[in-house]
Amino acid sequence: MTLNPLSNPKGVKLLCELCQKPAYIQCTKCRVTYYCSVEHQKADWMGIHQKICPMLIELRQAAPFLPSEEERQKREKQLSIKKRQMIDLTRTTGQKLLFEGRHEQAVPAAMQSLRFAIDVHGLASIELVPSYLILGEASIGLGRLNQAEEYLAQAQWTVLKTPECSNAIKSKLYRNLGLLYAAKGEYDESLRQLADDIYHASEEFGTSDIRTSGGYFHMANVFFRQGRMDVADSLYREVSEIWYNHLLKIVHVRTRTPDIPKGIGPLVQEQSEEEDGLDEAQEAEAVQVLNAIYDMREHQPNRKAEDLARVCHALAMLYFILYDIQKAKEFGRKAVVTSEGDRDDQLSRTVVEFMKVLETQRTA
Amino acid sequence: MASYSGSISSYRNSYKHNLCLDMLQDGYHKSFSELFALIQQQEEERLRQGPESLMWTQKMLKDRHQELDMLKFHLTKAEEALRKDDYSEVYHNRYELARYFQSTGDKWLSDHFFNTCLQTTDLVTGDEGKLRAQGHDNVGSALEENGDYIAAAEHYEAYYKLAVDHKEWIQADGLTYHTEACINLSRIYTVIADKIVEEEAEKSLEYLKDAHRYANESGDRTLEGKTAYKLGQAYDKSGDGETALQYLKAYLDICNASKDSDGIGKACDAIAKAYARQGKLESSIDYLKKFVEVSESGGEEKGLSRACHNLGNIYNSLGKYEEATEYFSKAYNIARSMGDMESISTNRVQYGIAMAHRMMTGFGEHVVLGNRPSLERLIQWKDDRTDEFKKPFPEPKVEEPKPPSPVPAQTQEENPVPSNNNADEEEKPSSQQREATVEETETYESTSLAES
Repeated sequence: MTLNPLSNPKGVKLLCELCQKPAYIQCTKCRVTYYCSVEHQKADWMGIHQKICPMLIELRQAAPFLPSEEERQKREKQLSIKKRQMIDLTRTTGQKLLFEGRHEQAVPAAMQSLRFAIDVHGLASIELVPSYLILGEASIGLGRLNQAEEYLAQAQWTVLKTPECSNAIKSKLYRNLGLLYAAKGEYDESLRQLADDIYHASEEFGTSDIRTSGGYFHMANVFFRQGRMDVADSLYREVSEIWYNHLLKIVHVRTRTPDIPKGIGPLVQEQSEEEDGLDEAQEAEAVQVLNAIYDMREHQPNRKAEDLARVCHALAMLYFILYDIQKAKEFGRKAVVTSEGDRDDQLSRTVVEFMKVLETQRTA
Repeated sequence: MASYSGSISSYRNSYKHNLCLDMLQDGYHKSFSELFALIQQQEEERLRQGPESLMWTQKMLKDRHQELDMLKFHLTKAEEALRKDDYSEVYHNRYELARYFQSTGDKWLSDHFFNTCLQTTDLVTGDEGKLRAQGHDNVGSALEENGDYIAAAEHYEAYYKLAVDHKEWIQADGLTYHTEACINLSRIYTVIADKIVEEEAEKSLEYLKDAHRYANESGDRTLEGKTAYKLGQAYDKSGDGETALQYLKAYLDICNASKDSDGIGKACDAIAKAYARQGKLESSIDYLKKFVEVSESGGEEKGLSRACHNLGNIYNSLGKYEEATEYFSKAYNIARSMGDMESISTNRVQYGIAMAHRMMTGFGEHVVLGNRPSLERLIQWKDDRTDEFKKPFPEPKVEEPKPPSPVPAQTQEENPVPSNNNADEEEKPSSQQREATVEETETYESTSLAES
């Protein structure tokens, strides 16, 4: 729906959601979001608006008149809770888009999350850092290094001023700084930052957690680019092993659930869902990381069969978890082929076992 | 900005943090995770033990810079080698670390590295298991130090199995692996046997047999002798005197060959005991005399004292009181010169008993005689307690026998006591008697007769 800025009521300035210029278009669904052009509306729709459109109505509408103080406070609280949920949603979406390599689309989501975060926590809060980091990463992906550095510097400054900042945030910050330096070609500095990332992530989650594996993966990429293949190889192996173990655990939980009678009730269901600890961003990360390693391994001339088999098996399990049975089977078959004649019996046995599970899945 | 932030943070961060960063920066992620896990393990242990424990105030690994540096150096070297699939280099680096922490007294760390050493040896090929044998040896001795003897024995067995076909493997100190494995196994089985001897005597005997077999195989004569001695004693205790004697004699032979006077003494002593238990007192006396001889010539005062004591006991039970008193007094004198309170008291009592036995016959005769000179002598004896019963009476004039009012009662009372004592004292004085002697004064010569 088109608008004319001149016909706005006096004192009301409607600005574009993305670029903060005077708006000429209004979203026809929620009627609370404005854009300067169709391109921006499209970008926002693809990036984040699609998901949050209906939720924005409540947040942006003018407050209704509430006669009692109690009710006003109640509404305030509800709004705050909703905004927090929005922060989480937009951030996860942004992160997921980043892992899928759609940096352009990640920007609106990150902007949205930053806006909500400022709204809830204020300008100098540590809570803003994750949004800055997503923005920074998106900018790196888009090749806008100066802009990325600005965002990351902002984030780093906030972290430095907040001594009680959690290790998880620190780890993310250092990971992004590492990526920035890697993009700039300053490999040594990049390695230093990634090392810091791994250290903090290990402090928070332990050395062999999937949230730590990201640091290893980026480090491996840097070594790969430096041509230090032996180090990169060892790191890639570590990453695939971490993912492999994690996925194996999830698959075990999933395939075990049918043993429990379904009549028991909601408690059992809840438990199994908690065990399936892969959120959207992590799923995207797994797909990206494992496929990258798989490609690398396939083109590696002197690879060990075991490495390739393990990656294949991990991918098969991943697609199984994502309910893409077709792909899961494809990779499972590859894993069987490569693990044949391998001395590691344990691996081939689990692969075969897993394939059996796949078969039952199709018939079921 | 980059170098600026780097230099600042290197002052800001803890030593451990910087060390980890250095390792990670060069891609040594395995070393990092191992070190990290070790530090975490120690911290968890500390929390588990709580603030009252000794460990709470101990300096933690993460603050011990020298150790951290050492760890970093060898771990990264090991990882470097691992990347090149050079497993024996990995083994050596881990072994170095284990040795280092052994020297600093960090048992848990040296255990960890010995264990990982052994794991590494799974991957080493081309040396026919030599490193693997070493690994088993190290883990075995680490477990032995921890007191986990059964598990240690398992590792030593594995070590032995690897070493038995390769007699050409020689250690730095000239021992072959095979010999060392045998020695270790023999030692560990002896220890296990000692541990369970109270509860499971049969099993203990089995372990001792194993120990003896391995000692035999090791070719170390003294060790063989020692295990034979232990085995002999165990057999003796279980009542199989024949087998016991066989092993004990083997021990005696070994000691004779090596001129180990202490060992000969021990062997003779044990053999004598075994014979005594079988009732072959003559042989027992022979070996005890040998024991006395050996310990006299070797200046073994303690052994001599014991030998004399045992001989005294046997003679006492045989009724040869002359010899018994002689040996007991000898034992007593030696004990006095050594200042060993316990054996002084024991021998004092035994000497008294033997003495009393000796006087018994004369005393009885006098009582039966019942004439005046004999009564006078009895009274005289009551006064000064010296043994003059053997002396001929000056005038053999016969007087009418008086009714011996207190004396017969005394003799009737006294007769069973010495025989009782005899039975008890064949091996060792009972504690009851020892206690009694402490209260006694120097008039030990006829205590048992007079005082009771």
